[in-house]
Amino acid sequence: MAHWLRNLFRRAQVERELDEELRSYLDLVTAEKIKLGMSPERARREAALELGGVEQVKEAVRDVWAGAWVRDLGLDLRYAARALGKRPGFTSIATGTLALGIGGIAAILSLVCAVFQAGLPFPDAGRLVHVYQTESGAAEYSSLSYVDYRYYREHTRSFSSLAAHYTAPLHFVSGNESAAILGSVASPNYFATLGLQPVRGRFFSGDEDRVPGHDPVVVLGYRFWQSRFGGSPDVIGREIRLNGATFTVVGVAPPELVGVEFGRVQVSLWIPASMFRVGYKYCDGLAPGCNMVRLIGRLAPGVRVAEAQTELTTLARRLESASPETNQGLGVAVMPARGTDPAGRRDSARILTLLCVAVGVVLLIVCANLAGLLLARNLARAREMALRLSLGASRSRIVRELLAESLLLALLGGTLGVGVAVLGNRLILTLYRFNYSGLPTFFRLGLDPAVLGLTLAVTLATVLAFGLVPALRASRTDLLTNLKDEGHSPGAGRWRLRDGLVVVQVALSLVLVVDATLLIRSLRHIYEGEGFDPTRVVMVRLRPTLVGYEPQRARAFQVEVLRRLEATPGVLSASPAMNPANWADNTIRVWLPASPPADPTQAPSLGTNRVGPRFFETLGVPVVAGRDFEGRDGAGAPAVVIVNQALAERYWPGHNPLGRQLVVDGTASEVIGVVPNLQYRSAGESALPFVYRSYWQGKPGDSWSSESRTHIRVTGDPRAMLQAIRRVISSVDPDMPVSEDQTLVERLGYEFQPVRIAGSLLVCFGAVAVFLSGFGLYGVLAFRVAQRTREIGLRMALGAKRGDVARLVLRRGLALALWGIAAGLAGALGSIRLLDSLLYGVPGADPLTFGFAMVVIVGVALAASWLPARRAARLDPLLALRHE
Amino acid sequence: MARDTALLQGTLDLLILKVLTLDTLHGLGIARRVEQITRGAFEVKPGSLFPALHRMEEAGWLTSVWGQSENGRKARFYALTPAGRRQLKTEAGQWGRISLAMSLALKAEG
Repeated sequence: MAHWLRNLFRRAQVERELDEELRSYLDLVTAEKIKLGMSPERARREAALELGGVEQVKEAVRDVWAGAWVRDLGLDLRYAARALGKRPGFTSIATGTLALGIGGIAAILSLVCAVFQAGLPFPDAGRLVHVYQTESGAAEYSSLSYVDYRYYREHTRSFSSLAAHYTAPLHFVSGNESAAILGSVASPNYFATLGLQPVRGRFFSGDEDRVPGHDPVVVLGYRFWQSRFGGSPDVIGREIRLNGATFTVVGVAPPELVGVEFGRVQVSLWIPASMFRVGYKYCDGLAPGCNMVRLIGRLAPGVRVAEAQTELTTLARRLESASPETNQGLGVAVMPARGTDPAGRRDSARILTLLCVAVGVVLLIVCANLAGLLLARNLARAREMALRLSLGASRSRIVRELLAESLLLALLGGTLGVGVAVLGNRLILTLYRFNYSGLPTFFRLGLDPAVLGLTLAVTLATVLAFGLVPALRASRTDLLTNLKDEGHSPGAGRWRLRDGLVVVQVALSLVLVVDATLLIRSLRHIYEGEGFDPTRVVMVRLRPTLVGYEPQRARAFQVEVLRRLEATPGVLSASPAMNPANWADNTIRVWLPASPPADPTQAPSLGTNRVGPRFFETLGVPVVAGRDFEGRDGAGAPAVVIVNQALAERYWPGHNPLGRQLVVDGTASEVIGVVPNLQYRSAGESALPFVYRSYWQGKPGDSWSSESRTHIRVTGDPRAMLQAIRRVISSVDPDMPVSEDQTLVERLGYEFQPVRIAGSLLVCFGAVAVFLSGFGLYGVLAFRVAQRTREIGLRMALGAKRGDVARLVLRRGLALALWGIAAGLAGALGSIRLLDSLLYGVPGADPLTFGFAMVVIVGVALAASWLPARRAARLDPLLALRHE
Repeated sequence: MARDTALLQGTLDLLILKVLTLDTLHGLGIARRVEQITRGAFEVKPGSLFPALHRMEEAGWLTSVWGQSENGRKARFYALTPAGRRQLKTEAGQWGRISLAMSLALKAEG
């Protein structure tokens, strides 16, 4: 066997031989000296002296052996493990700190990836792109008409396949089961574009978008098939009813298909484009100008996104000149199918920025804390180092050991961190899993291996940096000074560094506590309602048009439901509305009759809703002037509106608005009442002028106006009442789809999800930060007391009272905390800008919040100082003076 | 010691190779023979001798066997391998050129 291999692998034997060789050398030297006339004893001693330490020679030999560094690493790690094991307190705090840092960062970065980067779970998903419609002058991406889609599909060369899809609300009935579900209208090539094969049966055939109403076939989603049909294989050929039409099941999609756009609602089944009219009632989905579909395409081999964009833009121009009446100013945007849709990405960008900053701050605290821990630890071990150096350990050896310790810490922390990241992602997922109306979304969040690798690398670097610097310092320590010094007055520079680290931690914690508190107050405000009382209110969405009701019949249905609801025990009042009370994004053109705008489309657009009588009563809102809508404000009666205070203020400042005329969407209407402002406005926004029209004055031909989101105030637990309310509705029509059946508080929780997500995560971050900085402060003070034991003893011997000593330590702790608070206040004020859009009902620079945060920090500082202070006060002066 | 070894590591290797051309020797034997042939100019300490021996053995220049020393003690004997002989030739050649160059340079200076 080659020697180096032997040295590498047959360690024990090689070691034995080295030992034997050196002993033989000693014997030979001794024999030599005896021959020269020395006494055997003296000869042996002299020989040993000449050898100069068996261990050093052995070390020197081991260093030249092959794989020396492998062996050394193993040894160092073993030594490090033992050293860490001997200080379980330090080890668990350090690894815990690291784990929180690593886990937090990895979880948040994974979320960032999921929102911006995640690819669809389909074969060769890198070549899938979304195509949206753009409108000159509009920032939003919108949908296309099916007619235009067909044109693109037939003329493009950039795509090997281009498909259209539209998410449709469907009322599903099978046997005696019924449910409001979301389905998708899809072009026949939809599944092929995604590269999918059916689990059962078939997908759509190529001509199933030709003849409207011709192909009542349906492909079930895998989960839907499992939950509604128990995964039964003979589901193929079964008939189900969707929005009142009969469909035949022809296939089952694979489980990974629940949608093609992240962040949007999960789809349960698919119907072909020829059946568009079943899925969408408000315009003819197959007619020009009915812009309802989104496109997903697979780029042809070798074609880049930009090339596809250029080609489709050319096609869009041709469409524009061919049919200017529908396509004036329309273009297309091709973008890689990565992450959530553009709107979702834009919405998420702010909150993700905030979270990244927050998690970065936590990582800074983690590093500061860790640096402090390692500094203190190496300081405390300076004597041990000095001793080992004087006993012949080489500097490089000691440095390597310290590094090994850091490495081990990083590995332990990293492993735990992965666990924390998984838990963190689970938490985040529970927050992201539902859309604003509480429906499950298509959202995938996994620990990205790249993210995890990056995070581990960063942390490893951090720990090594903070382990290495002290290690290099320790190796350079002067032997004699350290041995004589007996470790009581450590270098002033190091003190300042550790103090500085604590101040930084306190400052950053204050920032996080302030931000978390602001968000919690914001969330509390949201749940308490903006001018209304959302507790004990439930909401149900009723859409009789989905099941084929004509407008007249739909209205009669709504009236009957309201009548029965109000007669139900436990129901105080019920009122229909077009939208939830807090929605601010539905707008309408409004002007004064005296000053009509030249171009009505240029009139200011204000918030609007249609509500029935007793709507405000149901929400616990007083009508502050005038009257509520009443039964007489129906179709045919004079048009009436109720305005909010912001609108009254804007059009008739200082005057009574009652009885005045307002042109709303072209209809002159009389103002009959004034109500408070009910729409949530974030810290940067001013109150929104809002106009309420009577629900019963909606245009009879407009199918929207026979739909409702009926609000119901109940006496007991609203969640429990939902059951009874659903029963009342099905007593009127058992086939009526009921959706968005929620308590208003739940609903608000979904709608203000960003606040909830940011709030929950910042509370976690804030708690970690406060804990860590408290611990950091404790560490500094405890160490200081230990280092200054003799000085404290002296003070006490000279007459200082125990209280004085304790105060000394407490004062020190408070001073550090106050410096931190001073620095943190500036940071917190700066951080508020990031929060603006998430703050409701609480000003950014909220004195109460800042006060609370400072009290928390001072409280933690006192708690952290108390133990060291007590230890200092309880020192026995005599023992303390004799302390090394 | 540390400085000496750094300076003289190449020299020590060369000397070890040289003394082993004639004989197989154990560690102390090598040390004594080096001292002898350099007339005491080189004192070979075990702290540099043994690492050098082990390094050269790993490099394949030396091989070792356990045997009996002159006074009956078990000892490890080192011998030159063919690779070691080649190495000696290269290193000796290099050393010759260096020492010639050095003495020429120093003479010119003087």
